[in-house]
Amino acid sequence: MDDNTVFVKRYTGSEDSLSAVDAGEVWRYAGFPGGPSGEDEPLEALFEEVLAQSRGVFRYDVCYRRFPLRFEDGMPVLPFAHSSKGLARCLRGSREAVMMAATVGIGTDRMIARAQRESAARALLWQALGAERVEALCDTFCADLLKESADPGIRETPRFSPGYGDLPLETQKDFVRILDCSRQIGVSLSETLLMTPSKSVTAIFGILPACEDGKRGEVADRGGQGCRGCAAKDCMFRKTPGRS
Amino acid sequence: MDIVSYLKDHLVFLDGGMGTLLQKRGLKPGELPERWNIAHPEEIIEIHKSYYEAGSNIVIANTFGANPLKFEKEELRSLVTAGVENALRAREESGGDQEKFVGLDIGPLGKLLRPYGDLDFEEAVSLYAETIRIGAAAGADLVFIETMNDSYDTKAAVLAAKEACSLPIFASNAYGEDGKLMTGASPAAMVALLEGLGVCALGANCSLGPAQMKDIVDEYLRTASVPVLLKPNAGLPRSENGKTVYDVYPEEFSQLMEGYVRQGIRLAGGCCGTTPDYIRATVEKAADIPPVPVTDKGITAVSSGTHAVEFGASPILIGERINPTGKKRFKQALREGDIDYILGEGIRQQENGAHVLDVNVGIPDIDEKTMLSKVAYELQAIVDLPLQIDTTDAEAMEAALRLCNGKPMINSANGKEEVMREIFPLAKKYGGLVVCLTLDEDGIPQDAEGRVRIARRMIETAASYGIAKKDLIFDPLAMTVSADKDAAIVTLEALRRIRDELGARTSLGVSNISFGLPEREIITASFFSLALANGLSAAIMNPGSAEMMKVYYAWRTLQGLDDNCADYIENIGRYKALTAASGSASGGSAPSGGEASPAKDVGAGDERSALTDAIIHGRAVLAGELTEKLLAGLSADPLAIVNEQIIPALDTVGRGFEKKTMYLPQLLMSAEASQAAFEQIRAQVEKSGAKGPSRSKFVIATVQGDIHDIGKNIVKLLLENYGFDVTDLGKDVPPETIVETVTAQHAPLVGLSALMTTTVPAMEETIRQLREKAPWAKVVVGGAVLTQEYADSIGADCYAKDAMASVRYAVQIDEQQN
Repeated sequence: MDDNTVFVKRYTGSEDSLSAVDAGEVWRYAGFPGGPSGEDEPLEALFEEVLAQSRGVFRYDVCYRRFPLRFEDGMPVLPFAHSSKGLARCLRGSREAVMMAATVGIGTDRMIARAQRESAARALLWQALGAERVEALCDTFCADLLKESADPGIRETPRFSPGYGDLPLETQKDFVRILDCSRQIGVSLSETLLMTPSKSVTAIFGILPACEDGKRGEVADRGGQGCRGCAAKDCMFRKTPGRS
Repeated sequence: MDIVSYLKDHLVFLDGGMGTLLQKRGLKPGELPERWNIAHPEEIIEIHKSYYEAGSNIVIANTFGANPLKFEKEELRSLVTAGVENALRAREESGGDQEKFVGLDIGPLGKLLRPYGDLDFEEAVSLYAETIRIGAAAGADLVFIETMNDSYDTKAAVLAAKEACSLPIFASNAYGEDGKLMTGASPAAMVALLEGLGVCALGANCSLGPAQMKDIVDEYLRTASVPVLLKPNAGLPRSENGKTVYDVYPEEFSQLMEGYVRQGIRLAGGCCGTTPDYIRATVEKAADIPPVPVTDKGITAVSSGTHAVEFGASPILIGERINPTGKKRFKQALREGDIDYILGEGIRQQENGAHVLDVNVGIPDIDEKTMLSKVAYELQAIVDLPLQIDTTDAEAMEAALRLCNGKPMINSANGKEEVMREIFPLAKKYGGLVVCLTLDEDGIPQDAEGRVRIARRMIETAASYGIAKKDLIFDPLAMTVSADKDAAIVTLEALRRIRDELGARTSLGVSNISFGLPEREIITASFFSLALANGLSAAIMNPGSAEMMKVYYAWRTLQGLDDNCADYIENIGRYKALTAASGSASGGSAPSGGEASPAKDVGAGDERSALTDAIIHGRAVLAGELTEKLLAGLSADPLAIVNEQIIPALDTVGRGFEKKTMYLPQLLMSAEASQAAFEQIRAQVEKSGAKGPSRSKFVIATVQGDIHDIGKNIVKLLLENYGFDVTDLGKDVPPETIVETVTAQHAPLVGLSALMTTTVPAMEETIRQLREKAPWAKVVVGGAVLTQEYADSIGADCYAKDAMASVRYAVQIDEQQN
């Protein structure tokens, strides 16, 4: 079935192709859950400036491979070697899997670098905005991929990335090679496995067949990227309401 | 016949895809195709033969991914040699009586160059050179550099080819649907860069189908003065019943290619998904089309890593502010290596409308070569404008030209034989637009005739080096009108005659004209206006000067260069209120809102003073103003202001952060506001000669291998606020550098940051070396992956979970020791 071809999807970033910037998410990535209010006009004004400056800076590119999935002894057989139980748990029940890499482009890094020379607060907001955009890109891509499918009942598992749980960060090398990332979307790895452009994501997720009883609860309980499943309870980015 | 001569009068057909064909023949997922050069030479030769037999003139060897990052030295040598030999053999054995050539295929290394990635530019050059040397020795006729998606990387590969062999170089880039390379370069930018470097042919391949490449082809044919090549994909891939198919078939592909050949494409082939059928169909349709002659477009252009700047009807503004002449603060920044200050001048000039930035760091007591390269390199990481490298030191010039991403301006040559001998070869090798001053061994001619004569001689001399007139821009020198009443008239006449008689571009440092006169800007701006009317193409000027910018916008409007007067209307408001401009708007980040509130009574005795309040709420401009007013008071005591108003504000915010009633962005806004206050304090303290408040030395760095430094920068900002004397070594810093600095300064505190598990070992090694060579130093570590346990295990003295924790620890150590 799979003949190794890497597909590329590019988004224009216009509102009909990608969701608009979610300010709440940007503030969360900036370490400010809830965001500014009342006496923070300077901060709000800075945020508006960064938003205005960001027009035309982001590119939205995704490359991916979709392949049938089978399990041997409970472990998913993937195009790369691994022994990750966490990944196995995330993918279980899936009949297909998708390996993906997404990036919002090098322009973001230029703007972050530039902001670093001007103001730490500005750099922080740029950084947070880039993170929000690349996550929005991943979400949009996953949703679109499911929409394209003939079977309306299918769902995706959470995304699982190299470095999560017991999947070593070294697996980045496999993702970048298998997805031909450098050539397809310009994402490459440093010696220390950092991705450039910095606002890039690699991940794998499973595609679950439609549930017979229509229940969807199982999807969330898989570890993967959800904050609920994460052991770092004290993380400043944790998505739990009412954290104080 | 060699390929260069053949290309003069003929169309050239290239080959098509290789990867898809190899997969059909059994190449496994993850298997490196180059290994087939030795494992299955017969398959490779078959594919090459089928392309020659389909009518290709150039077949490129199966060496796309053959580079020293992927293969060990010996294997690389044998794979590249075998790759070229396979193609040579296919040429020999294939049918078809067309002229046939073999290209060495060079693809990207797959790593991004610094500053965004971690591969050094010179390292990239030498990696490319290794493959190219082997391929040239094996008998390739040309070097075919393709699918490059970054302009800097393209420059590295082309430079490597120039230095490693004498074969003709073809260079092709891969564009996205937005018509730009991954790192942002436009076709015009690539044409400027690559023609400057002297490639034989240039163009585009991969990524897109032929129909989607229309705009890219248009732009290439508009700008390029060398043959343009095109190798589209067979459309876009999609999955059909589990098989990959490309959506453009040979018939449609070849029709589109035929159209492009009629339009002026001189080398036609295919990339991913194309097969010999695509090439055959293209040859059949296009072979008899008379080749469109390649003409010199006469475009004078420079480029950055993203875009080209063309010198034409619309005047080009070259920002002159990165220059120490007459600027005490700038000289001090150079001596102290305060690169942020210099870069700030760059950012500001771009915001003020400069198109090109002049870079001059020449002062007597620094290493100009190192500093010029550093500033140029750092500037192009944050400002996407072409640079004008400005130095009289030829060595410094060469070093900077080498690492420029794009085609720079070279400032400058003049009519002296010795100078031309020095500068023209550099321009020829690296590409560049040479600023030519109309002076020679006899000085500056008094009259226009003399200056035009020198210009004419320089055009002739440049031609003998292979440099075209379009790559020269003449500066007929504006002399001071207060010293010579005819100075302006002579310069204006020279401008006009260089344009009319020599058909060349001109540039002027306009401000010199008004030297020694009161209200200089009035004279300078009037002269600028006259110079434009006499044909001036570019001005070296201060884009922060309102008078100059008014002339610029008005001129463009009056010359019909500004549709609907849109630029004028959009921009002129900025200059309305300003009379004489300083060019240095307030630094820092403070948004301008809310600054009108007057600093009322700001006595230090208020319960919570206005200054404390301004800092807590992150109002930088206001905090600066309030501090200035406080300092102007009769009994002002700078130290008291710090201790009674600024520090309490910082403490309030710091405690708020720790209690989670305030958050990181608020903490930073406050820190920046207090910086604005500190700047006033510092200026006052310097004036009075007293010493400001200070704490220990603190050396801070992001460890080797880590290129993300936002966390480190935040800690640095806060430490400075608390009075620490911080030395910031930047990111990706080797352990040795950190140890050397700590030892040299005998710094009691070191802060190390690491983002990834993969860079913690570098942190551990740094600590090990510090323990050995600087046992007195306390080491505080932080970063996303660190925990208390992790920090303990690598021997750190303190784990800081956030920026405030670093500060608290540093204050504690400082107070223990002092």
